[in-house]
Amino acid sequence: MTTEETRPGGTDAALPDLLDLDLSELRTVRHPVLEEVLAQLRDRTAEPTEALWNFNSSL
Amino acid sequence: MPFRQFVLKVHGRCNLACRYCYLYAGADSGWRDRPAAPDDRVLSRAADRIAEHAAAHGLPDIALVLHGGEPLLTDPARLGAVVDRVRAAVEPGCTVHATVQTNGTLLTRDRLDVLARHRVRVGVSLDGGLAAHNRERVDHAGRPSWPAAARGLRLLADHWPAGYAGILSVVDPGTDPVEVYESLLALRPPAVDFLLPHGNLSAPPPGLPAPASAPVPYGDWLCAAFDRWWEAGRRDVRVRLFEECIALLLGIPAATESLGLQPFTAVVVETDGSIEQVDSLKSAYEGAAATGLDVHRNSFDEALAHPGVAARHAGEAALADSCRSCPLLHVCGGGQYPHRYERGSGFRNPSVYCADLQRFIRHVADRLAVSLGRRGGPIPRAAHDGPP
Repeated sequence: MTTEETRPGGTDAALPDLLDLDLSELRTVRHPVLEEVLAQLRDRTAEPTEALWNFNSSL
Repeated sequence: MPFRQFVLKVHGRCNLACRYCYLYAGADSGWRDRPAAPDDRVLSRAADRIAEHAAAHGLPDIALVLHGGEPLLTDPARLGAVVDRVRAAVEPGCTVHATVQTNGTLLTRDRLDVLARHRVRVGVSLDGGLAAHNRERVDHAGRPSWPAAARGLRLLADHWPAGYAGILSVVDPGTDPVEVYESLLALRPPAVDFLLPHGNLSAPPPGLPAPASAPVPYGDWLCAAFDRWWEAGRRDVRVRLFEECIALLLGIPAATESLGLQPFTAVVVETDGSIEQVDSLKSAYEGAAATGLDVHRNSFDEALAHPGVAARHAGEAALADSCRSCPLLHVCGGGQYPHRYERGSGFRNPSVYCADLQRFIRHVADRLAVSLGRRGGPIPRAAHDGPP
């Protein structure tokens, strides 16, 4: 990746648009790691509790 | 937005002297003027203030993080008593999730038994699963901490796996990311996180600014580790940075300081009872984390009104114009707050890791899009119109 594409301030390239995806519709995703991550994210969106603790210097 | 995580400095000194330590070898020397450990009055008052805050905001869950320095320099029975005190102080409907974040060198079976009895889970800071990954993690005589840390981690994994919260690793771009990742797997953590070393635009982290021949060393490192995790065929371990990046790409609020625009809801009680912002701010300048408040005289609600705290609740309004116009804004969020500091302009700047974060986020986005059938090939290179 060239310096021009990563300089501070960003480039003009948008990220792939994934915001319209419904987590419940992604149950058929066939990627073993992603399947587990999505299952966790479904729980988070259903019952948001301690999942949003964001202090980096602890787990 | 109330505080949800309460970081108690249960010991203000450390038995190690890691060469990159942002606390003891960094810009802020405030630890020298504070007591080594909080007295009973500070702990009692802190517990009361936490309960007061949780009740005022009707919090169903709070996190109590026992931190330092090295928290296990304090008798674990005393740590357990602190946690019990907080649990007794909060209202019945509030669950206190307690963890201790340790360097692992002082973990013994007896200490683990005490922590287990008080339901205090254990997180460990380690920069990889081999001695060579931890060369910078030495004691005050310069001796490697690795043997004792490895022993502690094995004990934790064998003796109390349910209490093993995971491993925090600071990225060193000079290491092999796949080797680091795989060596961490061998220590059997349920979760890991990769943290970028603290630095900023006035005091850059090691390796930055990077040469034109390899402009994004941290980004490249994270991408290689991500691919090893992503292509494993199963999720071998939760990796917080990777999973929270995926969450943000899907428009889901994230649980990390490293990315995203979510309000930051942790607060610290120092060994003298001072209420402070988190230690990572101390990598910026002397006194950066100070609020002028303390648990004896002030509530946590008063701390919420502090300008430094409010700035971390302001989302994109606190960011530089170039960040606010960036297509990665809602995922990156400007990166971790202290990494945006520059002498003279404060924290309203792109991160010192901006280019690395772009590299990493775009890489994860591409992998995610392909897996979701939204992308069939490599990310198209953007035409760049010049500086913002």
